[in-house]
Amino acid sequence: VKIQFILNGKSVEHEVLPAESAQVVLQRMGIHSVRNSDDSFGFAGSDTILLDGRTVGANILLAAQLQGRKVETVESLKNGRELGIIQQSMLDAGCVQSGYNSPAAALMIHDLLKRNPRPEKKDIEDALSSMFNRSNGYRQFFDAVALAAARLEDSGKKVDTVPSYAKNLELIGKPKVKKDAQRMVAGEAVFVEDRRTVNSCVLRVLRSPHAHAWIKSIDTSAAEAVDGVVAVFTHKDVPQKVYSQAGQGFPEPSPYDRMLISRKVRHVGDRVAAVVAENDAAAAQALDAIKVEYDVLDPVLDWDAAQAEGAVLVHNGEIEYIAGAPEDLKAINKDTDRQEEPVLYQFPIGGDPRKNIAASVSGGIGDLEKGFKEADAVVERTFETTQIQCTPLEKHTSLARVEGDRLIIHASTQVPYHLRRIVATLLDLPENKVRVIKERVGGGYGSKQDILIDDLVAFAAWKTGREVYQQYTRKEEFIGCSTRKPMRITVKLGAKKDGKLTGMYMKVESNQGAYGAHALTVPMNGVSKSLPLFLCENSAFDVIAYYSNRPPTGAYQGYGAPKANYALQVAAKELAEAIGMEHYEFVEKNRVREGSMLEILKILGEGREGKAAPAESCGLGECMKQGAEMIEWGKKVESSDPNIKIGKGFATIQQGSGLPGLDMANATLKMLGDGSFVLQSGGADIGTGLDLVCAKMAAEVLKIDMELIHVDSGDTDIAPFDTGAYASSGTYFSGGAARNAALKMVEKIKKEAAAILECKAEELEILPGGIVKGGSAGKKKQEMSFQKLAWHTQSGEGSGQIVATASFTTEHFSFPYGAHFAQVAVNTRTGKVTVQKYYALQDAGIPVNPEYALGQVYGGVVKSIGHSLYEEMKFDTAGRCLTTDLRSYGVPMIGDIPEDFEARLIETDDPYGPFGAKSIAEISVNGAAAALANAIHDATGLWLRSWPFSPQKILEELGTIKAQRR
Amino acid sequence: MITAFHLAESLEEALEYRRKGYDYLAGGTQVNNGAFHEWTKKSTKHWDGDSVKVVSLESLDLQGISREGKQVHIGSLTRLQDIADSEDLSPALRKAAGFIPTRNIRNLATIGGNIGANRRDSYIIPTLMAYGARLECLDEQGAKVLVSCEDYVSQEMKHLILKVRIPDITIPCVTVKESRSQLALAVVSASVGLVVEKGILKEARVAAGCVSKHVIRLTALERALEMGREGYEEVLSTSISPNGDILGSTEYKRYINSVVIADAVRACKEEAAL
Repeated sequence: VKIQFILNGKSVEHEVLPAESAQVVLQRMGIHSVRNSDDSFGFAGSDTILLDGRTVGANILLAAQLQGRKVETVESLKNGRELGIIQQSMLDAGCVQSGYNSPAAALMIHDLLKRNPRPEKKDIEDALSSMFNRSNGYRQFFDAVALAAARLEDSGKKVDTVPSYAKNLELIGKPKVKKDAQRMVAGEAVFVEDRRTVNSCVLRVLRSPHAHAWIKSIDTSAAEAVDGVVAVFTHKDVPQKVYSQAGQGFPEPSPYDRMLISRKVRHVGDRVAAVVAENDAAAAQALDAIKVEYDVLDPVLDWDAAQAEGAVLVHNGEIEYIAGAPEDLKAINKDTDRQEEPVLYQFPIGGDPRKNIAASVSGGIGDLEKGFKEADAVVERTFETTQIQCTPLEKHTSLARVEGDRLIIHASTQVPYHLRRIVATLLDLPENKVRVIKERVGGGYGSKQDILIDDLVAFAAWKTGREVYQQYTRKEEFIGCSTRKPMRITVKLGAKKDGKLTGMYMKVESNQGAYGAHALTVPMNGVSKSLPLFLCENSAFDVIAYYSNRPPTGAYQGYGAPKANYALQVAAKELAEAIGMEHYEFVEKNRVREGSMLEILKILGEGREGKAAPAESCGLGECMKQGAEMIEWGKKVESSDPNIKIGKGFATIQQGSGLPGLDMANATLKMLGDGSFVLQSGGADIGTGLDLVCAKMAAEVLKIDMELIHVDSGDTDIAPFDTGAYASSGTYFSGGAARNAALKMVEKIKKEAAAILECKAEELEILPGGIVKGGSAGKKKQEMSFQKLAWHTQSGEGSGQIVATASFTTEHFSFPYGAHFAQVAVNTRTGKVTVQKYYALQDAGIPVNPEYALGQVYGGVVKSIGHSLYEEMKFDTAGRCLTTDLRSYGVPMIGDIPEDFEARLIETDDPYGPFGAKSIAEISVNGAAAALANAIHDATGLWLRSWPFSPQKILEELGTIKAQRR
Repeated sequence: MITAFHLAESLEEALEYRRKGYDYLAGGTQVNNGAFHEWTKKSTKHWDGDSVKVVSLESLDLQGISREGKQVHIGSLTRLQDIADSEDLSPALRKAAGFIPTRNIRNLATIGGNIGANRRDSYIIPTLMAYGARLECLDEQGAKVLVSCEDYVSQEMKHLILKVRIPDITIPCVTVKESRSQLALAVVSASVGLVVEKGILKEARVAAGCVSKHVIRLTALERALEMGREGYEEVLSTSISPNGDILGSTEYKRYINSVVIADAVRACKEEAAL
C-alpha cells in the first residue's frame, strides 16, 4: 500500500505492507522516538504520536491508516538542538531516568497543555493515562507539568520542587540534569535497536510448549529451505558446555546448569531452536516449518512437588564441582542420566539437584531455642509471594556483529564485563576478542543483570558472520526471561513482655524455576537484608532453593529482601500484638541503631565468608520519626461509608551498598589538552544517573565545572573493569572509583605542577576553576591553570598526558535504611484496597543526585505497590503462564499511585561511602508489601500472609466468599 | 495478520469490499490489537485472527454528535474521547467512554468499532443498552436497517453501523466498572437505566458485560425492579454465570457483579427519586 501523509510538517510518501504498524514504518523512516514496548497491545505508551493533533499509539495503528493524516512526533517539539519547554521541564523535574518512553510522555504533556494550559491533577492523570512508567513512579510528572505550564507563561520560571543536600559540597547533593536524559527526551538514537543496520538479520526462537520434555526429534530442513533464512540452530549445533546466565562475579555462586539450547526443555518457553533470517517474515515462516517431536515428562511446578518423595528431577545430569567437591560425589552421581547435561558448581553452595535443590544454606548465632524459651510470646507464621516480572519498557534487545576476528555486541545490560566474560567463555574466545558496548538501557531492574539474550545472539553472529539482532516480544519477557522468585517464608519470633526480642528464625524456600541463576544469593539476601533490621542475640535461618519447571527466575530489584522483609515485618507486628505492645514502640525498641554491631552478618556472607560489621551510619530512627509525624501515627481515621475501613501501617527497610569483598570498580581519568577531562568509568549507567554520579565525584574533587568532565562508560574496550550495576553498588563502588581516580589525578596534577612551579607538591592546592596554586616558603605564591599544565605535560618536552586510574574495593558495609508508612482504605464490600497515603523516608547517606534519587524511591514504591496489589504471573497446571502482556499481568499506571505520595531523603554521612553517599534505589521496593499488609490489618483485622492482596483474597479472608484452593 | 487494506471512499465501496470478505476497520484499536487477537482466537468465532482483510471507514462522513431535545444521534466513527468530552451527552455515557483506561485508545477507538468488536467486557455496550439505543446500519445488500443494540450484539451481526440513536438521553442512568487497577481488565461492566413517568417506574434496563459471552440484559433483575422487589444481590447471584479465569474465580465474579450492580441499581433509583 502506498501512503502519503504529513510527518512533522513535511509531506512524505512511503510504501507499506497492510499488516505493518505505523510504529514499524515510522522507525523505518528514521523516527527513533516512536518505540515498541508491548507489541500492539496498546497499553505501554512508548509508541505515542500525535495523529491529527491527538495522542494515539502508533503500534495499534496500521501504517496504512496514516493516509492523508498529519503525524507529529517528539522531533517536532525541539528547535534545532534546543529542547522545547516541556522537554526541559521534564528534565528539570527529574522525570527522565531510563527514558525509553520519555518522548511519548513529552508528547502527551504537549497535547495536554495545548488543550488545557492550567491542568489540575485529574487532567494530568488523564493525559498521562497511556504511559507505563517503571523507573520513577509517575510522581515527578506532576511537577514537570506544573513547571512546563508555568514556563509557558513565564519562561524564566525556576524548578523549586527538587531539594538540595550537603551544604558543604559544591556539586554533590545538588540538582543537575544528566546528559543521557537530554538525549532520551529528545528522541535521539541511543538504544540498542537504533544501532541496527539495513543488512542485519533477525533472530527468533522456537520455544517449548511443554514445561518438561525431551526433544525426541527435530527436523529443520523445511525451515532452512525458507527463502531468506540464513541459519537454523538446535541443540546439535551449539557449544556442548554448560554455563550460567547469571551476571555475577566469577566464580559465581550459581550452578552452571544450562546449555545455549538443550535437548531437554525445562519450562514452557525454553529454547528449542533459533532461526536467523533476513527479515521477520522469513523467520516467522521458518519457525512454523520446524518439526519437533517431544517426549513429555511430568512437570514439577512448586516447592512441595519439588521436595516430594520420588519427585521428577528437573536436572538429572551428572553433578560436578570445580572446587570443594564432596567426598561422596561418585555415589551421588550413581543414577544420573548421561544424556542430560551436567550441573557444574564452581564451589559448594548447598546444592543437591538429586533432590531438586539448586542451593541451600543454614546458619545461626546465639542459642535460638534458649531465646524462644525466654520469650513471653512466640509467633510462627508462613508467608508466600508469587512470581513477578521486571517489565522494563525496553524489552530485552541485543545486536551482535563480527569485525575481523572480533565480536562486537551492542547490549542493553547491567553487566557489560560479565557479559563479555560469559560470551567469550561460551565461544572459546579470549576476552579481548569480544567487545561489549552497553547502550542506554530502557529499564533493567535486575532482569538485565543476566545474559538472557546476548548469549544466543552473539553465538549466531559468530557462526554466521552476519549482523544479528533480536528483540524479545512482550510475551517472551514473561516466558523466556528472568523473574522474581516465588518464595515461602516461615518466620518465628519470640519476645518478652517488655518488648525485647529474644529469638528470630527465618526459613526461606524459593521456587527457582528451571535454571539456577542466583539460587543461593537471592533467598539468602532475603535473610541478610531483613533480620539485621532488628537486634537479637539469638537468630538463625535456613534457605533452600528448589528447581522447578516454571520459567527461570533471577535477580529483581530488592533481590530477596522485598519478600523476606514482608514476612518479617508483618510477623513483628503480630508479635507486638501478642505481647500487648504498640507496633511502632516494639520496632523502636528493637531496631538497629547507629553503631550497632551486626553480629548476624557473621553467618550471612552471600557467597563468601561473613563477618560481623557495625552499622556505621543509620538514619532509621529519623526516618521512623518523620514518617510517623507525616502520617499522624496513632490517630484513627474513619470513613463516612460503613463499608470503607481505613488503617495505617509501616515497615522498616534496609539494603546494602554493593558487596564488600566481592565487588570491584575502576575508573580512568584523562586530562585533555585544554584542561578538560574524560572520565572512563566501568560503571553501567542503566538510566539511574550513575554517569552523573561519577562526573560529580570527579568534579567535586577537582573543583571544576561539571561541563569539563565527560563520562564515557559501558564500553568494555574503553573503560576499565567494573562488576556492574547490581547489588546497589553503583554510587558506592563505581562512584567511589571515580572519586579515587580524581584524587589520584589531583596528586599527579600537583606533582607535575610542582616541577614546573619549582616547589613541593605538598605546598600546592587545587582552587575552584581549574587552578593549581602554591609555592615555596618566602616566595610569592604562583598559580597555573589546568589548561596550561596540560599544555606543558603534552608538549614535546612534557612528561606525558596526565592519566589517573584507580579502583574501589572495600571491606566496609554501608547500609541504607528507611521506613515506609501507608494509609489504606479497604472496601469490605468489594475487597478493593486503595492506597490513600504513602510516605517513603530513606537514609541514603549524602544523596548525590537528589532528583534522580527521589525518582528512584517513587519508582521502587510504585513497583512494590504493584507487586503487592496487582501484579501476578498466573500459571495453569501444565506450567503455562496465562498473563503474558502488561495488562493481564497488571502493571500499575498513573491512576494507581497513592493519592498522597511523598518521598523524603534523610541525610546522614556515611564514613565509607564516597562523599558520605550510600545506595538509594534498590531498597525502595522493600517496604510496600509489609506497610500495606500492616495497614490492611489495622483497617480490617486481617492478616494477609500472601501477596498480592487482591480483592478476591480480601473477600475470602473476610469470609464474604468461599476461599479458593490456590 | 492483516493481508489487505483498502480505504473506502464511499459507503457503497465499503459494502462492496465487505461482500468480498473484508472486515470493517474503524479506529483500529480492536482489529490491530494483539490482546484482542488473543482473546478472539480463544473466545469467539467472530474473528478469524490469522488472515484478515480490512476496509477502512476513515474517509466516510460518519462522525459527530447531535442532540435534539432528549434524542441523541452519535455517528459510528465518533471517537470515544469525543463522547467522554461531549457536554451534549449524559454523565453516564461520558463516564462509560472514560472507562477505557487510556487516552491514547479513547482518541482512536470509535463507538461503532466498539459495538462491532462485541467485546464481552465492553464499557459502552451496557450503557447503550441501558439507554435503549438503536443502531442505524446498512446490511450487506446496502439496505438500511434499524436494530437494537441487544440484537446486534447477541446475534453477532456484521452490518455496517452508521449511527447510534439514543431515544432519551435524560433518563436516570448509572454505569459502573470494577477492575483491580487502572489498566486491569474489568470484572464488572454494567449499566442501569430507568424509564420513569410521573414518579412511576415504567421500564428498567440493566445490562452487564463480563458475565457472559456477550454483554447481556439482566432480565431477572429488570423484572424484579419493575415489580418493586428488593434483594437485588440475591436476584443477581442466581441469574448470572460468569466463568472463572485469570481475573478471579467464578464465585468472586458472581459476588462482585452482584454487589456492584445492586449498588448501581440503588444509585439509579436514587437518581430517579424512586
